[in-house]
Amino acid sequence: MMSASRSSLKRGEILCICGENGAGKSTLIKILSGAETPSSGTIIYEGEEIRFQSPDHAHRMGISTVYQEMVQIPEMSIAENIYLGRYKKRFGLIDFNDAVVRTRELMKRIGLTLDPNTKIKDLSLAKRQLVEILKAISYESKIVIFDEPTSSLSEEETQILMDVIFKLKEAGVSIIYISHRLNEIFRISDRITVLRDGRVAGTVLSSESNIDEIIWLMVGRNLEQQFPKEYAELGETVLEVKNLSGGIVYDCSFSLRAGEVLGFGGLVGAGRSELMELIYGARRYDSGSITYHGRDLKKISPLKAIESKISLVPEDRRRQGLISILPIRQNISLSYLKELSRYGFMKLKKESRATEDIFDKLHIRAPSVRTLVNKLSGGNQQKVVLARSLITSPDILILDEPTRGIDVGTKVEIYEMINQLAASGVAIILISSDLPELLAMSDRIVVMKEGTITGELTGADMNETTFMKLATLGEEVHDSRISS
Amino acid sequence: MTQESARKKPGKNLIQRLFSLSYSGLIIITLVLVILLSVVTPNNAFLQPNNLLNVLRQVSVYGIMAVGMAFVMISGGIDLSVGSVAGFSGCVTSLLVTNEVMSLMPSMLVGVVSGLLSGVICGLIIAYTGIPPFITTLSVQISVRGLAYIVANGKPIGNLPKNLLNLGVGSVFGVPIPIIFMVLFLLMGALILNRTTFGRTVYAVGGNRTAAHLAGVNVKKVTILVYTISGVVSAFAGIVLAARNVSAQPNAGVAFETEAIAGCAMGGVAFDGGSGSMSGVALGIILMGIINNGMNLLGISSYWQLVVKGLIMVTAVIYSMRNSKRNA
Repeated sequence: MMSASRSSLKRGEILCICGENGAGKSTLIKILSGAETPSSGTIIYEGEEIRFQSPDHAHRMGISTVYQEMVQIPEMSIAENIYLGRYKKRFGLIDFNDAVVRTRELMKRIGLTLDPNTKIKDLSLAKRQLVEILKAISYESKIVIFDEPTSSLSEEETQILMDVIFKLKEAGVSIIYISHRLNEIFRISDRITVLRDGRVAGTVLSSESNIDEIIWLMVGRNLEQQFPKEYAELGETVLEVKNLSGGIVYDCSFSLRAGEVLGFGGLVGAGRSELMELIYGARRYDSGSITYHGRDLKKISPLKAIESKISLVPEDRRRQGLISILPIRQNISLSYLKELSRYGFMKLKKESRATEDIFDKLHIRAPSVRTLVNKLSGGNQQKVVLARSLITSPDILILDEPTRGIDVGTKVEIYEMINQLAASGVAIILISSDLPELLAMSDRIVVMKEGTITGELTGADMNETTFMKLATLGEEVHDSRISS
Repeated sequence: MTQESARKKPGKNLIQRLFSLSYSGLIIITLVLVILLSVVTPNNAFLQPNNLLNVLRQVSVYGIMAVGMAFVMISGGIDLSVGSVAGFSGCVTSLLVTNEVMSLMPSMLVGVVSGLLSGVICGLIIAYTGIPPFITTLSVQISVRGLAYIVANGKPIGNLPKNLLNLGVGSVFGVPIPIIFMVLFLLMGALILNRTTFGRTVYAVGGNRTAAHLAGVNVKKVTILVYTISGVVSAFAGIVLAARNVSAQPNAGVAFETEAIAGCAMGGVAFDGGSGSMSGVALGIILMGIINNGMNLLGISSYWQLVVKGLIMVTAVIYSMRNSKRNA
């Protein structure tokens, strides 16, 4: 995967590594953390050449990794997770108290105040990540590697994480930070190394570089715009949601017009995905109404939604979107089987043609539609999920975090696709936690907080300040409702 | 890519593809066994056409059951009730025919419908209550076995009419009828799995239930249907079994579920669902037959046969798991 790359890391430095999906970031991390052995080349660590035999070996040498997907035991406490397998023993029994005390000390070092006895399952995603960091410190690590730590964190949580990272840096720990979020990278890094096609495309000092240069290094060409937004002509109202409630969603009303890109913003857990699940029929709503093309939608299921041309690209592509052990073709055709069959029998040729068409149109990078989905990179996997929705030619397309964890190049392709769809009259709902993306790509933004809609942004109001006010304070709603 | 390498590619791919099949380990093991057995058995006994037919005839009932089991397993479940269902349906059909309540066809239909009902019940419980398939079908296995004893009054049912017996011991153009049934079921299974929309959804549900649901697959319906198929298929297998044994016995088919599951597992059907094929299952079943037959010919005691069968099964499954990991 990787070939001939050279990079270095100084003590107390924050080095960011970025690159498109498939550029070799994951492979690099795996090699550095001992999960994979390099086929050639050397790692010089503290002046000596070293070859990590296993993750445990790397750990003991002072290199820890905080992975994107965390490996924690939800039923165990923070302290237990940190000292798992390394408990101090007393008379052959585990001294849990010792682990708790030591965890408190670790927390003090980075200014955290959590109860070490809290179970992991009761923590937010961000806090779990902090626990992983504690674990890294507990090994007295000299290098801590972060693999896209903020991809599922809110703005606020990201800030907390950044503060902790700066504290580590002050303590002389070197950081390797991998992220897709360019703004973030500039905020924290000293230097940035860009990977492309498994090689180092360039290393720059953050203070002397800018986003455009990084993008240029990443894709090898200039991207005219990071967000190539086009405004389509708006048609009639296709969807009217009134006072919808169910689960954590409470009293939500909004409407959507053909050709419109309606953004949904809010902090993680604001209930945006849950609201869409009610509309899409993945969950039943308790009260309120959904009017679609002038008629009421009742007792919806995903199947009925798809048949009435409402399509959803879910938030978590691996858990909710893909059937990764199946080939691309079977994944794409899944929502469209009825049209690709007669009397229940598949028209295999028609299926091949239809899936190959969309496979080419979305530029999915894979040898063929027979390739298994689990062999694809994140960006291409996302395109497969998109293809499944697009093949049904929906009137309403709900995109839940469609660009999360994918590279800049693919992001732009997705933005262009959104433009095209809107221009052809598709109504699009775009949920995104990437604020610049949301502000740039939406015609109008609905802001949610704690399961309800706190406001709507249009025109000049579509800026970060107004957005954050609505997302965190809920200015417009005066609040007995929320607190009750 | 140069022209030459482009031309070479397909050939290389064919071999690669053969070796990357989830049951390629099985093909190798089968070939090795066949060669070994044809060399070591006295008088070339193994390769005699009659013996080969015998291999297939011995596994035909398991083979039929494995077809239904494959549907369940690919959808991510398991069906432990198949043996009991076979026993029950064998008894019901035989009772109706021998007591001349109905003629053969309607009696068989009643037997098969009993399997269908049992499958529907399993499917409904699993789809709507979320009780794990293992527990659900184990419970059904126990209850249905009880029902078999009740309808048969605890005694074997003999004196089966000739037309029923024919299903188990007869042959067409020298090919025993059970084998023909097994082949037909395998072909039908392959057709449904590969060529129908339903087949597609079975793989999808087994591969990722949540994603399948969100993609518009009626997961509950698929779940109910796979257990129904398994019930119907096992009930039919039960009738053939009764005919082969020349009498229906309420305890017929005990532990047959392990044979059906073993056949599927050896044939590369994943235990966590989402992958597997009828050609693999066919090979798995044939391999089991070869092992039994070969060891019989070699005069190995049946106790040792069990030990060896277990070892070969675990080897085949390890190989197929490694293969699928390498492909991942």
